[in-house]
Amino acid sequence: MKITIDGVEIPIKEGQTILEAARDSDIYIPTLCAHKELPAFGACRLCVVKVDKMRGFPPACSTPATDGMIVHSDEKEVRKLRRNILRLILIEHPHSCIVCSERADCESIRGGPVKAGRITGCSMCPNRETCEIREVSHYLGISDMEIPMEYKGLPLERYDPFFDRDYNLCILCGRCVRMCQQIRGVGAIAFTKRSHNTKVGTIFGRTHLEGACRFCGACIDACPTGALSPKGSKWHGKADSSVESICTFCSMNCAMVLEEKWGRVMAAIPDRNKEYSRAYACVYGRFCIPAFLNDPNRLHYPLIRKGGRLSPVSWEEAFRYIGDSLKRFAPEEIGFLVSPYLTNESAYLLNKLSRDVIGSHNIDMISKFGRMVIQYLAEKGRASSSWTTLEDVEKADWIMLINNDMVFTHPGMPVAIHKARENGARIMIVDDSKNELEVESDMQVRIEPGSLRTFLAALTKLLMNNIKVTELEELDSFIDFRRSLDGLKLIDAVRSTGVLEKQFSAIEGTMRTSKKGVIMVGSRIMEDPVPTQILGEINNVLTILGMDRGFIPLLEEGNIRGIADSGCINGFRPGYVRDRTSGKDYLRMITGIRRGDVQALFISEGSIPPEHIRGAKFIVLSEIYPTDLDSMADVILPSAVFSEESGHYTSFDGRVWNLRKAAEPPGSALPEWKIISGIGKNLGGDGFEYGSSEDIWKEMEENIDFFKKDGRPPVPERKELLSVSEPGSIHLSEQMPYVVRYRGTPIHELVEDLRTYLEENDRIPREEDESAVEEAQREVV
Amino acid sequence: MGMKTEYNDEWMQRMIEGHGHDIKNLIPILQATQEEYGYLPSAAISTTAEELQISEDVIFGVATFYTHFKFTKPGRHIIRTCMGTACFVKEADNLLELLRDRLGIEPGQTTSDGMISLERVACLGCCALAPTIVIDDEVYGKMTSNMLTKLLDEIIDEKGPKEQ
Repeated sequence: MKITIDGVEIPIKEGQTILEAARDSDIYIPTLCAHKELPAFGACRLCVVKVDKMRGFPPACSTPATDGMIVHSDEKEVRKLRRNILRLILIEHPHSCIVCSERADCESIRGGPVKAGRITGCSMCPNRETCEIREVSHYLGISDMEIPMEYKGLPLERYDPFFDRDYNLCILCGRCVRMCQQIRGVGAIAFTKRSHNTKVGTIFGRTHLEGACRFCGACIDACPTGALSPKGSKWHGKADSSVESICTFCSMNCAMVLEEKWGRVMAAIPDRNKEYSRAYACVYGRFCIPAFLNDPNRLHYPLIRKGGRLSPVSWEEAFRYIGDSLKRFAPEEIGFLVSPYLTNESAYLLNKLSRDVIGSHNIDMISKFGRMVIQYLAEKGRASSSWTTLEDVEKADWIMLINNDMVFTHPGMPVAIHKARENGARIMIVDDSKNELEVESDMQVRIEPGSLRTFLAALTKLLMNNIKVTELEELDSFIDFRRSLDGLKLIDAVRSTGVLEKQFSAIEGTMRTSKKGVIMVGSRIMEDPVPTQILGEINNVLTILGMDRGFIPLLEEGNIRGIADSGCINGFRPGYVRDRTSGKDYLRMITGIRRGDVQALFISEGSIPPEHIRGAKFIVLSEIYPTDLDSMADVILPSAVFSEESGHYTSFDGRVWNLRKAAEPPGSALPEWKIISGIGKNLGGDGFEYGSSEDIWKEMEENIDFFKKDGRPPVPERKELLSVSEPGSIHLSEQMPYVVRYRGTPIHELVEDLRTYLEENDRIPREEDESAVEEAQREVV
Repeated sequence: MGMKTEYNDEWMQRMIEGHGHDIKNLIPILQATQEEYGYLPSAAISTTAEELQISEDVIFGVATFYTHFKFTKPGRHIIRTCMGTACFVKEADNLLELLRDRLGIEPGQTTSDGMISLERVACLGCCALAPTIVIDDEVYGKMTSNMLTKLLDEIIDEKGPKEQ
């Protein structure tokens, strides 16, 4: 099928509009309201075209392309019409920058905008290089305005965190409103009132902080004008350079473009060209990256404790000192606690340093939930195969969300869930406290705290009643499993969970309809004294349903999956090859320190509670910001952050991403792989002569099957059943909600606006209460 | 203007149940709400949002599109100023200005003591009497600033305009 636009024949696909077909063939048709990621809207009328055998001027964005259509876009009559439409739009948009006679010179010089709150003149607009109105008016050749401008005189909205709004610039294209409602599934903004009084706004003009806004910034990125602007990154003008990299704050690893100016990362913008993750970027990645990375407290120089005081030294001295000091300890007295934000390459080198050079097998990840889950999966032989992906979520028929706070821990995930729901998925929430996603779900089950095991057991029992499991009956574990289920009475489960029988059967019925389902579980299951029991019982459910995949643990830390893959997990070498020599895991290292079995530590982030490592004789700490552990460390090594090095990250679902360097580290800080190589060489280890992190990656790809293309084993069948727990309530241990962090430093500690947002949502104690909390914690410890 | 019922969340939920939890029923739900309470209380919008699984902001956007929906509790007395062509020519805008000044509110708002609501209407169909003002259900024609001031004094003194 083909159509002709201005004499050029282009192919069309079934169901495409004229605009979509033109875009696919790189033919420009001006638009202001159409957006690649949104369905057609038809508000701005700038895309009007002439079509043979059609009356009037249909808009290209909402007119379906049909075979043989002859379209005229770049024609005098059409251009004149578009120019007049744009002039009408410009009446309400300050446009001095568009009709200025100095425009050509201005465009070539173009400094940063003048800092001014209200945008009335050309130099005050923060929309710098990205103004679509300028683009369109340039294309249409608008150089004068016969009609005087009408300034709306609306008050500026500068009282919310993260971004400012000046609706005097708004042209009401509705991209922000549609983005928020249709893609993000939030609906924090809407068109209010009508006619001349129409304005994008909130209910009763409430602030976004009070309202439903999750501060993802999707509205800003969609806005064709300067009406919406990020507070933190609106004044630096055009970036000097930009690289395609990722955000590392959570394990979703959204693709981001990092903009560098004056040697620093000044802005991070979601990468719209990456199909996989363009729509998921959230408050952390969109707004917090520059402020978090550029804080003046970043560590600049290696420090060695001399005579009780930390003094700056050269890297050579630091490496030599570490080498000499470590030689004083037996290999099994040395422990490695690894930050889940290191690159795969650095993690691989740490494994090499610890297991091969030093000979210590005491290596584990600094994490609670992620460590527990990955260790569990690794033991069961399920960690090495591909995990359930975001695509699986979007295409799922049902999704069960268990005890999680993903709106704050993985704010991109609800976007995928919203998409799944639009595609017809049933969303079921099983939670022992309020879940923010309740308004976006089909079933909400509030279970009694501590009754999750009973809930899962009862669900298992119902499934067993309705599904034939002849194959499973041959399993060794089946008899015990069957017996444990026989002991469970549904009435007892109803009593202890507070879930009605009809709710149980509704959930069970939904799950049985399709194997394209996903169970997601969050870190609040760590309140259970034996969280692996919950994982086992979830595995029961999936086993009975015959689903080999379909489980997503909401891993928190940016590269927890990658460092486990690369060998920084207890008992497994890179690629989940069993380590033949046993070593201590995190908890045994902690007890080992107390007993004096473990005496020297290499720690790559300062998030460990100081009391865990008290008693160690020699502590090397590599980190990016000062932490509570500094007073105990013998050596502190300043590490580079993710925007200052190249390497690879692995997201929660096993996708491998490229980190690319956008800026230089401060002072003499080094990428972690160089630090580890330096220590390795000083200990006389071979194989630390790398020119770049790319060399390490090549070595990993060559030597370890797991990292080869298609090297991961297929997903194993689920063939294990775990006896379910007795019905009743488990006593839960109180847990602080997880706060998003990087290399051990919570993001909100350095980003004031994020603190405001999290405080408002009760994710962190308010600043005034914080000292009281610290007091209380100290007493508990 | 009889006082409408006090807000009752149970009533609200029952009413929404009756319409069905579907976004396409939003406008009938809003109409029923306004009929019951005389306006759309913010608590009613919250409940509607929760029941229909849409955001309050979206409901507000829909409701503000229609001038029919009110967001403030109507006052004990409602003053409607006609701004139709005839009244406008007879300088009804002066009367509106006087009301604005005196009451300290804009058309569509209610005084903070909940006594008087001010509204502007397009035409009352009695152009021969222009300029016209309606207080509660009583029509006052050929209005002047002096007469309006007197009427206002009476309402404010709690005598009620009808005693005249």
